[in-house]
Amino acid sequence: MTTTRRVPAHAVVATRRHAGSRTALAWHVAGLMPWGPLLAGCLTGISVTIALRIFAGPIETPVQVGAGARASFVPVIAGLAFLLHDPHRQLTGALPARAWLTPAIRVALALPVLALSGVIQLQVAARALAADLHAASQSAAGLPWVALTAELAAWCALALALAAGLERTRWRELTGVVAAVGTLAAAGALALLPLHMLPAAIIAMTKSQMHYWTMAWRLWIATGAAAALVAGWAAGDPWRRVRLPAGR
Amino acid sequence: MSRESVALQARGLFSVNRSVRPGNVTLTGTSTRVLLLAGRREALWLGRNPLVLAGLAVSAWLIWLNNRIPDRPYSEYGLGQPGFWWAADVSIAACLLAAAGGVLIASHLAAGRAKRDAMDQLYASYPTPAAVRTGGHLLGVIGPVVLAAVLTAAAVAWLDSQGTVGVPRWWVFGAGLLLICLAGSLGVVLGSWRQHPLAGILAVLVLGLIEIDLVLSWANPIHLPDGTAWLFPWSAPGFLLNLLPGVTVPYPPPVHVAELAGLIALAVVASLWPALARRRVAAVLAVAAVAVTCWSGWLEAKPVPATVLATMAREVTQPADFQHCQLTRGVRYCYYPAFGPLVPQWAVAVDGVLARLPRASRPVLTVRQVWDLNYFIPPLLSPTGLTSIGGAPSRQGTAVGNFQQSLSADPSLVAGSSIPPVYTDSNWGTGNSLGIGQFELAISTAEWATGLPTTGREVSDDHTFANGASQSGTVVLACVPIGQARQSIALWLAASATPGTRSAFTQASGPSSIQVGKQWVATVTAPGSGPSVGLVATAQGAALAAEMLRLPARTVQTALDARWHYWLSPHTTTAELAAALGLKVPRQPAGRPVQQPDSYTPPSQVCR
Repeated sequence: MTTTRRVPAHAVVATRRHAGSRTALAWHVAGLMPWGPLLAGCLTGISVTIALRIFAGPIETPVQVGAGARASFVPVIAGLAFLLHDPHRQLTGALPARAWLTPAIRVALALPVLALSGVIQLQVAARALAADLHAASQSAAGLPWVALTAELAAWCALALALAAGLERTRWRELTGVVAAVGTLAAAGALALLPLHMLPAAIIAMTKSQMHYWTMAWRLWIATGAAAALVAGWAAGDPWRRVRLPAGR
Repeated sequence: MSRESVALQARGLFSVNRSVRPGNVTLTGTSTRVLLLAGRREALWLGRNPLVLAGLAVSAWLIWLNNRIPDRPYSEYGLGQPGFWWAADVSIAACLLAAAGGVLIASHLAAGRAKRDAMDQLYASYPTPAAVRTGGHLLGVIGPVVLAAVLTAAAVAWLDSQGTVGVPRWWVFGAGLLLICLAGSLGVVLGSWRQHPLAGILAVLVLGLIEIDLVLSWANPIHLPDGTAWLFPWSAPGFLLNLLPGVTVPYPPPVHVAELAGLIALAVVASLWPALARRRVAAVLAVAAVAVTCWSGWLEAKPVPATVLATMAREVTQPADFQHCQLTRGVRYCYYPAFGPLVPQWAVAVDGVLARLPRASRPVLTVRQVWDLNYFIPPLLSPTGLTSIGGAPSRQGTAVGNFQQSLSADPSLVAGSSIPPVYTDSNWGTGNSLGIGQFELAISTAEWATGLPTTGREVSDDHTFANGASQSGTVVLACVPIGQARQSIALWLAASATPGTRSAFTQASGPSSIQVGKQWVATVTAPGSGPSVGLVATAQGAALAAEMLRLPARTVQTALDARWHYWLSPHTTTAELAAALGLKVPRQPAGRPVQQPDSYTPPSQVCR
């Protein structure tokens, strides 16, 4: 004999109301999203790659195209670093939703923009590389898409982790600036480690150079995953540590 | 003033004294005091801002990185080129760009602080105009400027202790400090017009990406024509300045300081504009600043004049017209004016050789500095295109190139020099490489003293290889004094000149093989100074010189003094010299033919 457990009517209403409140929250969050910095960052990044394409020529080397593509990620990261800052945090915190939900919705809304920007940047950089190689009468070669995408993703995750962490502190008003600069510093510091996390060669790679690229994107994926975990944890914990001066 | 405070005023809820309204720029005594106090406070805050300090740290690192002796563009046989102030001062100022980036972001954040902290209304209630607060932010830039000045002074002291040649140009450092000032003013402008923190970061990123391309102007993918690069806040002409002898230095153009000053004035007016009530004076000031900026930009963008280029070419091809000469202990040293401090160092090696010559046979030697670096490259020559590395061909560049090629082949090229000439150039050793520098100059001096040629023979090296490939051109070949006693004497003289030359001789490279006529001979090459071809001695001659070094110097000198002119004859053999000194004649190893599949060197000749 089977029994069907009936869901109480009030519970169904509560669930519907919950789903409805999430949709309302999503619209609310979308309206309060810092689209300006994000779009400004993405457009600046795309402009950098377009400059690479415009000035493509016989003396622009593939290494410079790789460096230029990485440089074009920097404005995107800078724009993304402002994503989690919520000037209406006190109000948002009073909403009947978990603390991580608002940042998660923001990230979910930003992801398509980031993905589109990344695809455009890499496409334009690939065309710049093709033009350079053509001008230098060299055979065509492609960009290391996977590795560069992994780098961009990891840098984004680092920026979000730093921003989420700083949002919990008394310096939350400066979250974006500190996260943007901090991410660049952290990525630079990781690149300085003897792990070859920013390989330069793009074409005519030797076996060891290909090995470096493989190692690099794996390391960046690992770094990005760790940063994403930190970001998730920090976004779910709204507590801000306020250190009072001694004697108070 | 924010919209909220305007609304509050309109409702009469928030009264502001009309005489001290935010737009009133007339400074009362109180306003002046507040301006100074606010400026001092902002300067202290900016001075300890982590972004400013990090920018200064990056600048310090870049200064160190760009001015280390091993990183100089030209070095020969491990011999470095001393630093030149006419390149180092530009490098120091250009490296302040990193600090300027930090200052721009920090001052932008400072200018946007009131809005960020929601303090607009409180500040609007103060009895001082808004222009005073903006003025405080502008004055605050003094903090980072002072820190940058300290960094510059430390860099100057460091480079001076490294023996940098020439005199630093203080106006170039001034331009570097103006760059910091401009960055701070731009930050305040951005903060006045666009408070979002990303504005400052994006401004730095965009300016940085543009500037990096110009600062690294040798390896960058874009080469701007003529002086266009100087229209940007800062530029550095690659390592062109390190190739100049320091007589005529066309970069940076002095009007660049005027351009920076004009831009700063423009930024100051723009930042004060929203808070100003009487804008007529500001508008006049802005027009004047635009005029200065455009005028200086127009002057900067023009190429280096043809007359200046002609003078720069003559500095190489007619060195005597531009050099100073001084007589030191019987030797005439002729040098480009900036290299005067190197003369006492050259004299140590030269005197060390001359001290071992018989007094009667000592004619006056002229040690002349010549310039063997060709600086007729971009940006001095206009690049043929934005993305091309080559410069447009120039008459002066060709003339200088031909002259420099003749330096190592034509012994009477520069009038008023010794025959054979003893040349030196911009290379000189410091620290561990001092001995190598001394040895090279001592070799050239010893060749002059023993009558060995310091120049070579220019021959065609046209050749077709077995695989059908071919090469063509000319090469300058040194002669080889096979079996001649004077080669060992020259090596002994040079090696015994100073403790450093003795050490350099013992560490000299091992024997190689050179084709002389139809036979292959094992030889040891001792490079000479400047464009000299150096001394190519046989392995036997070098071994005998090493044996001579083991004998007391007095013993060798006595033996040589007795029949000096006889020993210098090309017909006097190493065997005779060894016998006179009571030494066993070293064995001459057999030469091994060196066949390189992709290069060909014509055979040398025996020195006459």
